[in-house]
Order: sequence, then C-alpha cells, then structure tokens
Amino acid sequence: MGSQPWSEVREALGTGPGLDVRREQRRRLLRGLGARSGPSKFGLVVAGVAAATLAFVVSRPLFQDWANDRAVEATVAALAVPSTPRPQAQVIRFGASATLTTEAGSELESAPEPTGDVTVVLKRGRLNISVQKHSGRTWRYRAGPFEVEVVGTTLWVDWRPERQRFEVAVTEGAVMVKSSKLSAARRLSAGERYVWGLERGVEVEAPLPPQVEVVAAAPELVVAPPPAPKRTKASVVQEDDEEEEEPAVGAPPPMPPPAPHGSDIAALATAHDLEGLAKAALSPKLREAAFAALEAETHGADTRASEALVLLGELELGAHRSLGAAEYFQRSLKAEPYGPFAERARGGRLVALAAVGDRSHAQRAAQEYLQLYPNGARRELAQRLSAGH
Amino acid sequence: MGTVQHLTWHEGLEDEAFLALLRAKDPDAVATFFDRYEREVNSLVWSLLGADLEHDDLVHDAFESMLRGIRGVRTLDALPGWVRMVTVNTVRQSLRKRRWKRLFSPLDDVPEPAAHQVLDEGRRETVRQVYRALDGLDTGARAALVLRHLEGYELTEVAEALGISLATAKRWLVKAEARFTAKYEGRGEEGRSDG
Repeated sequence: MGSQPWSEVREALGTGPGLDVRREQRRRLLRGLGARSGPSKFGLVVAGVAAATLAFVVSRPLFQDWANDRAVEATVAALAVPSTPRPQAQVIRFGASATLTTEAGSELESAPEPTGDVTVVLKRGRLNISVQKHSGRTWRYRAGPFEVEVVGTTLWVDWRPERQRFEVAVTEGAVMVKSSKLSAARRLSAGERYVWGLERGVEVEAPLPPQVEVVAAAPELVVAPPPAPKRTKASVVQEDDEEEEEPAVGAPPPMPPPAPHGSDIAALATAHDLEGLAKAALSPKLREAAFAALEAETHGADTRASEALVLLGELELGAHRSLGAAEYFQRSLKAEPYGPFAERARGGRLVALAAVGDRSHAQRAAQEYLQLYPNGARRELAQRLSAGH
Repeated sequence: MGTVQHLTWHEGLEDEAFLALLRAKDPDAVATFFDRYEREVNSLVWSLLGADLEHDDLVHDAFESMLRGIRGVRTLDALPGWVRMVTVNTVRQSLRKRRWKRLFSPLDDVPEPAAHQVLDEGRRETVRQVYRALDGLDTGARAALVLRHLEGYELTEVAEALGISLATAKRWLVKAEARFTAKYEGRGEEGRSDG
C-alpha cells in the first residue's frame, strides 16, 4: 500500500467543512424538529391502505346495487318481447331483487318504467313471486284487470283468463290489490288469500273467508258457509262493508246444518275447505270422511289437488306414517312441481324421508330444497341432511 | 449508570433522562447531541465521499436517521459506535442510489467528489483519482478502506461501524485494498468507465 495516496488525500481534504457550514447544519436540523411531527412513510402507507379498504367497503354495496339494477334491467328487457306461452316451469331472476317461478303454460311480459319500478304482466297462468325487501323499487304484477303492488314480500298470483278467475295469496309481507272490478284497493297481509272470478256462470266477487271453521266441541263437522249467495255484478258489494245479518230478537236459533257424510263432505270441499277438512281428519270420528274428501280433491292437476295432497301428507306425518306421507308429498310435487304448496311438499318430504331413514333420497331431496328455498322453513333440516347427518 | 461528559447543558444529567429527552425530540437535547457528534459525522461523510456537493444533505439525513432510531439505544456508552454506524449506512445508501441513477440515466452527470475545493493544484488530481477508484468498489469495501486509511479507525471500530464481525472486516479490507490498488494504478486506462 505504500504507493497508495491515503496520507496525501487526508491532508488535501482537511477536516471537512468549515464552522459556518456546520452551524447551518445545526440550524437546519433544529428547524426541522417541528416538521417531523407528521406521519412517517410507513404511516402514510398504512393510512393509504386503510383509506382504500374503507372506500372499497363503502362503495361495494353501491356497486352491488348498480350491478343488481343492471341485472334487473336486463331481465326486464328480455321479458319485454311479445310473450309466448312457456311450456315448462321456469325460474326468472331479476338480479337479487326478485325471483319469479312460472307454472308450465304461463305467459308473461314485463315493462320497464321510467321510475325504475317494474311491471310484470301475467297474461295467463301462475306466478310464484319473491321480492326482496328494500329492493328500492316497486313491483307491480298485472293479471287481467287486477294489479298487485309489491314492495317486499312472497306471494303467488294466478290468472285464468278463460274463466276470468284471479287469485292471489300472500306468504310474507303485504300487497295491495287494485282493480277496476274493486270499489277500493284491498290490502292483503301474510296468510291471506283473495279470489275473484266467474264461477258457475255467475260473476261474483268472492273474498275468501278467513278459514273454514271447525267447532271442536260439536261431534259433527260444521263448515262455514261459502262466499255464496252468488250475486250479480250489479249487486257486488265489498265484503268488508257487508254486515252480517243479526237474527231477529226472539227468533229461534238457526238450525245447525245436517251432519255431512263422507260423500257430502267431498261435495262440499272446495279450495277453501281443504284446511278445514285436514283439521277435521284429526278427529277420529271424521277422519275417514275427511280423508275421502281430501282424496277426492287429489285427482286434478291444479293447486287444489296439490294442496290436498300436501295436507294428506302432513296428516300422515302426524300419524307417524312416514312412508305414506312421503308418497303424498311426492304426488303433490308431481301435480304441481313449482306451485304455491311446493315448498311445503318438499319440506314435508324431507321430514318423511328422514323419518323413514332413506338417507340417499333424503340427501338428494335436501340438496334440491336448499337450491330452491335457501331461506325456507326447513333449511336447517335440509342442511343437516345435505351434509349426510 | 454514567453521566455524559463534555457537555454543558445536561452536565450531570443521567443517561436515561438525556436519552428520554432525545427520544422526545427536545430541542436542547437535540442541539447538545448535534454539538457532540457533528464533527465526527462531518468527518466521516467528508472522507467517504470527498468534498461532495451533497455533503450537507447527507449529514442532515444521518442526524434525522439517528433521531428516528434513538429509541433503540439503551445507554450513552453505545452512542459513539451507533452514530458511526448510522452515518456510514446513510452514505452507503446514498452511494447505492447514485449507482442506480447512473445505471438508468448514464448521461446524467452524477455528482463527483468536488475536488475543486482542494486548493492545492498538485493534490487536486490525486484526490480526484482516488475517489474515481473508490467509485469502482462496492459500498462496503469503499467504506472499509476509508474508515481504515483515511479516518484511521482500528479494525474493531471498522467492524462496528459496518455492522460486521472483525473477521469479515479483515476479509473485506484485504479484498478492497487489492481492488483499489488495481483500479488506482490502472487509472490511466480505465478512467471513469469503472464506476
């Protein structure tokens, strides 16, 4: 290293900058002390990541709303073309806002409205409707002269133009039914059903009685009178406004109706009576007759049949005859795979199959149930069965 | 627990109390700290880079780094070695940045040792050639050479300032001297392209 010039360089460079320079360095360092109170680079990065995360979390629902609106618009546009009968049952999703299930042979159209609301016109057939609450729009379902306005609910609407028969039933929430045929809009809540139609050649306005009544103390079945007497259109009066006739003071009490036998009950059975018959079947004395009446209803291919079959299945379940119950539920689903009683039928079938111990069928049925009714009443059982428990 | 010597403001102040004030960026404590170590820091930066145009900025950066990292210092006895290490690291970091800058913008004139500040004409060229040869070394080797030969550090002090073991410091020095010699003696042929 002898040839290396370290000592020469050391002498040339001296001891470094002068005193003035060093004093300025000192002033600069002390001046900057206050400025160091700001966030460090790491702090800025953390703050940036936090801000981005917050922005993502805040904007996500907005983006989802936006995407959902586009999905609804796309479905509305797809349905806006002139309708043709749909040969098979079909599930139509309007984004996450609403799901419609059509019955085979149904015909429907939809029309966008400038307000963002959606109107679906049911020209024929049946629609099961599930509308999410807070979807931010009003859903209107038109069927003939009727309009059902929905905010967030589950219901089904049935329109048979050839019979001029309209029916709406609400499972959850509430709807408003409007029509030129009605003197005022009607509000239906969960568990209520409304039927209007021409029956037996006479035009009637027939709001459903709340339930067929069974007087438990009486040995005989007492069926509440159906909506008759039939009235002509000119005499149509809203039932809400109609007051029941009070018996005249001193008049003898009305005669109880004669005790019906099986065939009579079958004759009396209408769509409205089925629940009552199911209750009646719980009475040992009426069981046979009620079963016969319900069975009589099961030979059609409409809602009445599927409802009767579901009720029979539930009666069988109650009597711990799971195999028979499973068969009734299966028949109900065959009669109407996506009807208003399909969920009950599928749920009942799950219970029956689980009770029978048919694990492979129960598992398949559970998977189907969860797919169709992710929030259904039997979802917990379905989840357990689907998991193979 | 010793007390800080050679200081007026906090004479008699216990180490812990002074370090606590320094961590809190107390202006008087920072001024005292600067006064105590500025000569050594200036000298180190000066030797490592020569009379560099960024000298003042690097001294400032070194003290800023020290004030940020002072939390890790437990006793005043550890301060001198730690100050040297932070200063050397600050200069090495700057040298690495310059190397990258040169790599991506080779036409830019990266600051070179301000040899013009050397008044002696005869030594000015020597200074320039020495720093050009040092530019051809990696930053660790350069620092080891400068600390040992210009600052006159003991081998243990070199190792401490570089944050390496004594054996590694010896190895680095041997290699660095060989490479420096080759570059310095072949300076006429290689010129600045070595950098």
